[in-house]
Amino acid sequence: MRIIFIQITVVFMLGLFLASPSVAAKIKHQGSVYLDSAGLSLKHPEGVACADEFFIVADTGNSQLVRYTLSTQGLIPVAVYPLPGSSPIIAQLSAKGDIFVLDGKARAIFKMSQEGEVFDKVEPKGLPDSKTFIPRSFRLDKVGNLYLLDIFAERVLVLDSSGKYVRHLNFPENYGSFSDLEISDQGSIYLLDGVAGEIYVSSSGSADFQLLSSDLKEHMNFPTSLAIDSSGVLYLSDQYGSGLALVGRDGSFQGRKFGMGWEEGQLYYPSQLCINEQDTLFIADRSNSRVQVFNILNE
Amino acid sequence: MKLREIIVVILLVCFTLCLSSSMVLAEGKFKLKPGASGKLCLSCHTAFSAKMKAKHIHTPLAKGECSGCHNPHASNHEMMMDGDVDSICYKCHDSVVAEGSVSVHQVVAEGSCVACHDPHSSDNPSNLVRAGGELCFECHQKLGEKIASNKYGHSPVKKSCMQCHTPHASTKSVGLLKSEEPGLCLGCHKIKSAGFKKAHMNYPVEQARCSSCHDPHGSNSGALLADNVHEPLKKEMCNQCHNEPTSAEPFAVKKDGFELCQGCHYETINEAFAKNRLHWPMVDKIGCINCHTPHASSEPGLLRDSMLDVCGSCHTDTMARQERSQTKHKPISDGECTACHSPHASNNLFLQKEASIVASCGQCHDWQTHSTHPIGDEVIDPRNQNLSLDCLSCHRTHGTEYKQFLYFADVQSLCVQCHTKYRR
Repeated sequence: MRIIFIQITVVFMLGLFLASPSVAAKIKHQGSVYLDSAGLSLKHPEGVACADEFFIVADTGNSQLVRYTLSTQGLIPVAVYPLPGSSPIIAQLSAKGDIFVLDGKARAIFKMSQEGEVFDKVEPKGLPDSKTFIPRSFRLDKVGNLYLLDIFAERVLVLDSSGKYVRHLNFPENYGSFSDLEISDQGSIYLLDGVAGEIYVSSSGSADFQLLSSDLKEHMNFPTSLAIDSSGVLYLSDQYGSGLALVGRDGSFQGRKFGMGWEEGQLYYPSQLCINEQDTLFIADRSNSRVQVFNILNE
Repeated sequence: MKLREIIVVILLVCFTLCLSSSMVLAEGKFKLKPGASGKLCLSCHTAFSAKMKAKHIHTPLAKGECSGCHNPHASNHEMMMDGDVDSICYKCHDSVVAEGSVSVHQVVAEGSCVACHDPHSSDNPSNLVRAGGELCFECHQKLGEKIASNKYGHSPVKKSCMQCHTPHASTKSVGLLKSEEPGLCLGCHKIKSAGFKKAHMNYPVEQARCSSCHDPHGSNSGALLADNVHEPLKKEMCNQCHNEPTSAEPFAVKKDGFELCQGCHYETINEAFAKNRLHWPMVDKIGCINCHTPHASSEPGLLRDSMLDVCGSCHTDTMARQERSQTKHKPISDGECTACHSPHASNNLFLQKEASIVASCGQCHDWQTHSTHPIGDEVIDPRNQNLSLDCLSCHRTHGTEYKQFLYFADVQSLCVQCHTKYRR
């Protein structure tokens, strides 16, 4: 009798454990960067782009990009690329290592070489209708296609690596305000509606967006940036809630990470996120004037 | 059977009959004596004799059924109510909010029926605590003041709010309107007259929303146009923004978003575009009219609504934080978001008007009088080498769950964040 009771208890506890909502990923702090290669303090950096061996910080308040190496020796600043008069807010890297940056002031995307030389401004060629476009955010896929979150014409514009129009997807109806997008390795496009607290998805090859996750406002304040890890979990930067929120690939809320604060491991109005292929998470911790780097340990 | 036994049996039968008849006569679920469900109550609650003389008496009270709402013995609710005060009325009045209602009066949603109705009696129909608009303006105070001061009044408003609105819920329209615009308006206003067409520059306004130009509660502008009228409308130049009235889509605008407004407001828009940080809604497809109304508004700056409601429609979390906050920040309470923020664009974080947080707060707060703590660009935050100490190092301006917008529950907890050697 006693053995049966123990068995039932164990099975019940196990069931309870499996049924309870849990955050699969554990996140371990790796380090933070505060200074550029000339020793200047970062000032309100809003953007961060990442590869496996280096990352680029959009040092917004100093109107510059800063390149860091990511190695066993640590996070080392190696170069500064000044962008005088600009307000770099989102950075991305192409597979070749070219740098793309969204200047919030000019509302334009600029392409730069790996050495920080500005090539040109991204100008879509062959747009089918509205010539005006306002990129609120953008992403690159692995083959170099550019996905622009065009809030003026309510669409996601897909351009090839030469800037030529490939296709577009119209925004879904009755949205609040889109602030970011993300592309999965499988080619799905995710849209983040920070005002309504919703995520939409368009599967690879699909022509429209479907609601993936709603009512996220219950769990976060004002998410503004989106990134995806190797297991398909979406990471949302909850800017006004000073934390991260995790959403599963099925749209389910999976928990929050970090809290508001000034010390390492805490966030203060974070903005862009980036996750590289090694599942290293980079957070532009804007109002803490630093970028924090974490390792995602998926279980 | 002996006589004594027969008498005992007869007495027992009589007793049982009496008991059962009294049980049958007992009132309601409390099995009260006749009259005890209400009339008996009035023998103690003598003040109710005045209530009983009112013109309109709530049906249960008129029937002498106090126990319809009150529990005569004990209750977990105030006023010995026999249920939650927020829902007890729905026991009888269950059809107040029809299924599929588009809008519901806030007090109804909150179950605050007694905000408008006297649950016992009143001299006003429907047991209203006050008659007509006087009751509505107790809550809608600003609107009442505006209606009283308007130069031009709308005749239905003078008669009763109920001419256009329904008091509990509307299945037809937002704003508790009896039916949707323009149908509601066209019930009185005839559209076929030449004067009507001419007044509207021949645009088919019978298909449009009248309140986008007119203030149905009255105004200080002619033709009941809302107090602040957009210049092109004032000059009857609708076609400056819209297609010609004879076109297939007369209400379509000539350009999208900010590009339409830029034609006249180029200085404002260019000035915003020269700043480092733009308020993104300004450049989406809706553009300026995310916040402004293009025709006429009773709010300054042609805002769509009060500033607090306009900003709060997106920044719900910020407004909620102020609501929850133990200490309220006055500019927010006053609906003056622009006291600190520049709504179009700014070179500063959070679209602050001032580059320095200390300077921004210093517009109202003389910080040196409340603290001698060093703050300013030269004072490094011990928690983070890249930050200097300013007001936001300790306070969160839209409020926290603690007093004085502090991040922590008490001053000691706050101070030891930096002064770590004093940590317990």
